[in-house]
Amino acid sequence: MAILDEEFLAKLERLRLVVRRRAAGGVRGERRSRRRGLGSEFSDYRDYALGDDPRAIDWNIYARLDRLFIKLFLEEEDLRVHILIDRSASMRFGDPDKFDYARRLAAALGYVALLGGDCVAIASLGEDARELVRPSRGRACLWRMLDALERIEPDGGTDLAAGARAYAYARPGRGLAILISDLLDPGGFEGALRALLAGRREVFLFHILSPQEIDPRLAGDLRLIDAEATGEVDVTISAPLLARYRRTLAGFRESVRRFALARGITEVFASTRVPFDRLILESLRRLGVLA
Amino acid sequence: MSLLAPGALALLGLLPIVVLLYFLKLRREEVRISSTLLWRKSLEDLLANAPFQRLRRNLLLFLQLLILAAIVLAVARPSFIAERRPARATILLIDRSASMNAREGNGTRLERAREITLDRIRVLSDGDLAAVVAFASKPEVLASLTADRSELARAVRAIRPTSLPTDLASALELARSLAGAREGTRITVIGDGAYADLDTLPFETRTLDIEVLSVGEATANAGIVSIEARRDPTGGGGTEIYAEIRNAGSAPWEGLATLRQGERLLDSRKVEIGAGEAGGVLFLQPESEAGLMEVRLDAGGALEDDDRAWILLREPAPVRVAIAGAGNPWLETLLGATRFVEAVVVPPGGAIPEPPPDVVIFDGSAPEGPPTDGATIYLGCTPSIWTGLDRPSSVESPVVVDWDREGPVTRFAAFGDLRIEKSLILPPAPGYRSIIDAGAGSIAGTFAIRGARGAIVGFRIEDTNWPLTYSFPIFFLNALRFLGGDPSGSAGLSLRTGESIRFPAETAIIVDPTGVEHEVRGAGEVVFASTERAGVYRARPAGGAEMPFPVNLADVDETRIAPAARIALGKRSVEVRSGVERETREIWRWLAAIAFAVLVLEWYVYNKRVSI
Repeated sequence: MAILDEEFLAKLERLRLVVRRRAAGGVRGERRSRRRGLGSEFSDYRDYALGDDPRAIDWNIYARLDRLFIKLFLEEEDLRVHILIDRSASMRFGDPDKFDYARRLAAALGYVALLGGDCVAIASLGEDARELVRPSRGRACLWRMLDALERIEPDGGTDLAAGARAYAYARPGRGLAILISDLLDPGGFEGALRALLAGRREVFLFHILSPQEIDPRLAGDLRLIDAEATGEVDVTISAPLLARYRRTLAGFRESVRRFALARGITEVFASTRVPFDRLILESLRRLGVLA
Repeated sequence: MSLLAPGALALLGLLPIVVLLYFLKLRREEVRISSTLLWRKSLEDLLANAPFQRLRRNLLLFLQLLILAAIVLAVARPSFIAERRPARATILLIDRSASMNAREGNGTRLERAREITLDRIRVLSDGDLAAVVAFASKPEVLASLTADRSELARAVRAIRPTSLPTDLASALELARSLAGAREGTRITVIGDGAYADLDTLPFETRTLDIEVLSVGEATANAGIVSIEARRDPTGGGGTEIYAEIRNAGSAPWEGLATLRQGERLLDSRKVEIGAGEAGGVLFLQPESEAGLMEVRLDAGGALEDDDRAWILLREPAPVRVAIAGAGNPWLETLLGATRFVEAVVVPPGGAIPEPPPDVVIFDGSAPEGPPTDGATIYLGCTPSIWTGLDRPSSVESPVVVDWDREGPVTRFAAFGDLRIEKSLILPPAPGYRSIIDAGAGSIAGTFAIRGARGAIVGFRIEDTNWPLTYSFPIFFLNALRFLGGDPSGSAGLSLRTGESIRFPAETAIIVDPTGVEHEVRGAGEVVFASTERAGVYRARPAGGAEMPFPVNLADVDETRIAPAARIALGKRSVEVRSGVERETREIWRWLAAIAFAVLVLEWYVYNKRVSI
């Protein structure tokens, strides 16, 4: 399956990732950075010091004041976008499939970022972090990115916190971390988000659940088997039990929302029932993630 | 331990089915889901009770198995016998007398008795013996002691109703002899309990195990307990039909009694009889009416057999008369012209013909001595009835001053125009009653002395103008009818159930009231004894005309259908128990079945829970 078709890619070309923090990567790019330096937008003057680039000397001021000043520009740096996909087995579930949904979302966001001149890195988080696409920029790496996303398969358990920490160590620095996950981690989702927040990254959280998880259509005496082989649960489905499940799910989502709100994380909840293009082209724009 | 209905054990086959259902239900469908995380959280407090849940579930299964097993065992009707005992024998005496035809609910008492007897046979333990005896006026062994329940059931189903009276004593005697010396034999009488006390029985009853079951409940009944017909005793020439009706109920009875010939209604009477009392209804029919008459009661109570009675009225036989004398043209002319009289003349000194005529008329002279047996009429002469008393004396031209206007001989006759030249005056004597008085005394009268009866007329016919008066034929026809009739007065034929029909013939076909034909052969006389049902039996002798024979129940004891609480049997008294208990026994099985159905439903609901 092609993750993204040409038509959809064309639609994505008009979009841009919206970041709130003037967070930047290490390479000059198309985004304004708070770092003053070699940008195109004037910011300030300062005395020339040895070692400054003589090209920055404002010769007009030197002519009037006979002093060497150099012009300071707001440095336009590129944004380093880390796209992290939960690859635990629980993601391979639902109709439409959560993982397919997640990697299309990753591809779309990555493409938008590449188009914006941002540096995009993609990794998958399971019990560890696996880098799929090294930080790269330019349209040229789009196909590499898509190819890498197509090849990954979810497997194993979830330890988002461990994976996120490992990735944060390996790729320090500010930027935008986009985590796409169902957050169904027995160890909790908070550790992963904290690890990503460290280093003053901006974090986008895409919380993906399938309709089957939001409103399970189950009946009778069942043995529920965890996709991540963390155990089985015998249940006799009854109306009260289903109501209890829905309450638990609502509580879970609420805890995610509160955690995100408290820490400035942009949280987007998506059911895979929502068509993918609608999420990208309408919902994310409305939420201000894309512009 | 034995099971009365071991077939029910087949239901134990349901036990594995319940277990199977349990396991089928418990084999959970495996469903892969993304994560059990949320489910675990949802189940947290439920899981805290998990051991109890499992226990509850298992407990439920065990309880259900236990209940099912108990129900199945109950349906199998286990019975426990403490120690081994010899096979028991039961002699089932089933009453099929007329009172068993009383209706109780939808059926007759006999039908109920049959069902109860069949139930009794069904619950016999293996090896138990039973005999079936049906009894009415006579007991009949339908199945002798056997353990073959199907044979016993066949015998019971073969019991047919009868209209015969009951003879419980002979039935008990037969049962006793069937039991013989066998220990512990029980005699079970299944009847309506409407039995009279049997205070004197020719055998000892205290050693017998007798049980009396009653299927009777109804008590109200009125019935005809006898019917008879006779010539009008006053000599009026009609026939009286008298039916005695007994009200055996505990409330006064009021109904209509009708007299019918075939379906032709001849007469009806309203009858009111107090509780437990008897009354009668009398119909008077002209003599010319002959044939089969029926008296019918409407609203005669639970028993129909006694609501109808039939009697066959016979043509009166001609009165044979011998006239002993020198010859009397007036009298001979009169008697020769009378339809119901056959007269012969016996000259003086001649012998009276054999067989003796019904009436002998001595004209002018009579033999010496007291009156001869039978009926006699003396004209101008007398028998010796005045021995030791004033003898008759003679009188010239007596004048009739009075006569008995109501008497059977002189009624409708007037003697005021009778002129007599001379006559005897008849003085009073024992057994003599004057019917015509002259101024000087009685000149005619009737007598009845021992076996002799007759009339004495003190004058000779030729000494009077009597033949010229109306009273002459009236007097003689009255006298001959009064004297020549059947002394018993019965003018009808009716038999009671169980009595034989007899008539002279070689062979005959007899059609009983139910329409069944019986061919009967006899040597000169046909005897048909199977008059078990009340009604009209029609005999068709070979080459002869059809003859009806009315057979009536006419039995006070059968009309009394109310069951007794106890009956005396010899020196002991036996309680009459109600045999109609079968219905209540059956209900609990249904309840058990309902309980089982509810249990299954509960099981289903419990496991199904709410389907989403």
